[in-house]
Amino acid sequence: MINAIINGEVIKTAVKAIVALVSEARFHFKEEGLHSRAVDPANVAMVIVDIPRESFDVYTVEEEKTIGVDVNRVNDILKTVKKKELVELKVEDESMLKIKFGSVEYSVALIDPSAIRKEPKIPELELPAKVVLDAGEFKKAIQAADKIADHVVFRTDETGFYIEAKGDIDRIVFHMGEMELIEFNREKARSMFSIEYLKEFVKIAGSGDILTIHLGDDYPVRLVFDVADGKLKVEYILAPRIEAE
Amino acid sequence: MLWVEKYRPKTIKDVVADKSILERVIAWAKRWQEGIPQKPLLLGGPPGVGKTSLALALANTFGWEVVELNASDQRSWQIIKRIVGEAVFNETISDEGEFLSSDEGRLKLILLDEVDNVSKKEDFGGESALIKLLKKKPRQPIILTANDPFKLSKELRDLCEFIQFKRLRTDQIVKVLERICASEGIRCDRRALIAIAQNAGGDLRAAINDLQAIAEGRKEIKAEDVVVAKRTQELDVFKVMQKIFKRFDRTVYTDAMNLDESPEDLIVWIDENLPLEYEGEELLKAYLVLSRADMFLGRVKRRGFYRLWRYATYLMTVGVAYAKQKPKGGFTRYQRPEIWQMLVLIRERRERIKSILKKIAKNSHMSTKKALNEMFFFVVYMLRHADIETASKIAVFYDLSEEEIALIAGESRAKEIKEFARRKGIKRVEVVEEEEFFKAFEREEKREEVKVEKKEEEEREVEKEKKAKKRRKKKKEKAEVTLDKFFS
Repeated sequence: MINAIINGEVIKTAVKAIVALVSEARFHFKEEGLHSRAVDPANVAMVIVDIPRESFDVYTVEEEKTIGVDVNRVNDILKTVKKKELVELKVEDESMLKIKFGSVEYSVALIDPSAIRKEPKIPELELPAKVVLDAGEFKKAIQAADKIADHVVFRTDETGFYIEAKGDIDRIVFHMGEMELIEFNREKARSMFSIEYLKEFVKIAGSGDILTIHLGDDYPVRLVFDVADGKLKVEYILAPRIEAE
Repeated sequence: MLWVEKYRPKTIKDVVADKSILERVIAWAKRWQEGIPQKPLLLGGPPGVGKTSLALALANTFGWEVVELNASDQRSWQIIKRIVGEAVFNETISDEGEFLSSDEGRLKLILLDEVDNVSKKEDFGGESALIKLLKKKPRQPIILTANDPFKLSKELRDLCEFIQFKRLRTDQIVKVLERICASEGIRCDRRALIAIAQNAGGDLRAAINDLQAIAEGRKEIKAEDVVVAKRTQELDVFKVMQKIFKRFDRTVYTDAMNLDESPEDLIVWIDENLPLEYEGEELLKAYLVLSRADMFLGRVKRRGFYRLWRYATYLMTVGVAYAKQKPKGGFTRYQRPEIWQMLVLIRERRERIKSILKKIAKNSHMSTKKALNEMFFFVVYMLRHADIETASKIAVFYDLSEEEIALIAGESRAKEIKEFARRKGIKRVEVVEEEEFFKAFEREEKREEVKVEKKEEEEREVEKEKKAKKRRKKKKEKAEVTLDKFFS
């Protein structure tokens, strides 16, 4: 038996973050909070979502439990939830998840967790460069780049952090120097990524949210979003594009 | 656990297939491993011969990650396009959460299972989307499998390296069955295994499933046990034809329902082969029944009421079978219906004519519709009947290829025209002398005076006039250029 009450915005964003990659996912109700992770069907990206126990208004978990959720459906329903509204999650038996908000009670059948794709381990990656910036700025850069290209280059050197996109006839460079960045360790790195994924990732972020980027050379990138006043941590790991010689 | 899954080959060595196929596939994978991108593989062949198993075993052998899109997923071309499109141009994060770099030969195999099943159902644009993707030189290996690769468009097939799988031989199947029996600890009569293998008709998956069904809860299999478990064999359409035309057998209806052909396709088969067997009154009767079956098919189409299919199938099988007076003997070579091929040919012809019309429209400054209604028959007539010089001038003017001329005027004429144009060096726009330029004018005026002329002549004039206009334009431009130069 699980009973949890949480701010609408937090759970909405958490589910939205998962939907960006997969349609079914395992939710682990653990002692320290709610955790979920998954790899997308093309084996290119991974999402890791954590809602710490403290972010819940009520969090009673009699024993740790894993449920399989059709996140596509849940995401659709949660769209109607307002930001400040409270949402109650309830799992009484193996088969149903109850979501209550306002005067609506929504029940959805659970999926057998073993039927969902194997859950990945969280990879250990050596990523030299670390950049911390406002997620809203990053979102703007990605959305602009999406207009002209299907891939972007993330680059760092002593002068700051660059996002570069090249179309057939046009080019966008987004640059933030050390002064504009919240934190920057001045390491050099460069990798290329698909915008198709990035533009899904940034949907959960707004200005004021903090984004930490860990970048390497032709290596995956880790994007760690702290959203909803730090109540929710979403981490994306994205494999780089294979650059044609 | 299903034995089919349990004994799926782990490495390429365990795969049952022709040696030549294995060699080709391994060579393909090795080149990928060395960082040389290869065309996708297209594995074609009947069900249960190990196409998917080969792909999975290959990935396993080389330590590749697998992204599998099979028929059971609710997949459409849209999803395929998205997933494949991203998968092939990006590096990999494995199911284990490990990062795999293609630089180190750690690739990911994209396995599109049974592509022929998706192709026509959902949206038509999808296949071309996949084609577009494959043309962009994928950076990760792709394998497509298909039961009937000829259902796919030729363009898609040409983009792939095509490998055809054959039905497995009985002894190949028996070998695998023996191996399974040994590791399951089941004593087995070899004759029983042979019977199972023969019954499966070259389908290893079916054979293993049969073996498991028979062996359930036993430690020993004898030859007698097999007879009981007769499999509803996957019949091919030829066997059904035989049953309809040669015998009086109502079970043919069930066979037809189990067949991997829709009634709409089956009726074409029967229609094609009916006259090979029946004659006289029988033929008449059979066609009457067949036309009735066709009426049902029409109703299904119009109303979307698929339950009527069973009447259609019943009529076209049992109905046709009972239209004959006595069972037929002998061997008849049944034919594939020609209608599908014809439809393809007609479509191709239509496409080619369209491209000719586009050229006419462009060069004569009109819409393609007008080109069809007002110009096309002139061009056709001229190409067929005009003297060789005029014809080749026209051909050159409209920039028609030899193939296109052949479509209109026949191959020998096309060759003649092209040859002439080459020999005389006819160009689309000729450098004309001043006098000739005026001559064209005069001729035009003359033409206006003498109204009654042969149609043929007239057409040639129209042609000339058009060329003259073109030249005039050209001249004008030239003149302007020189004047400008003069003044500046």
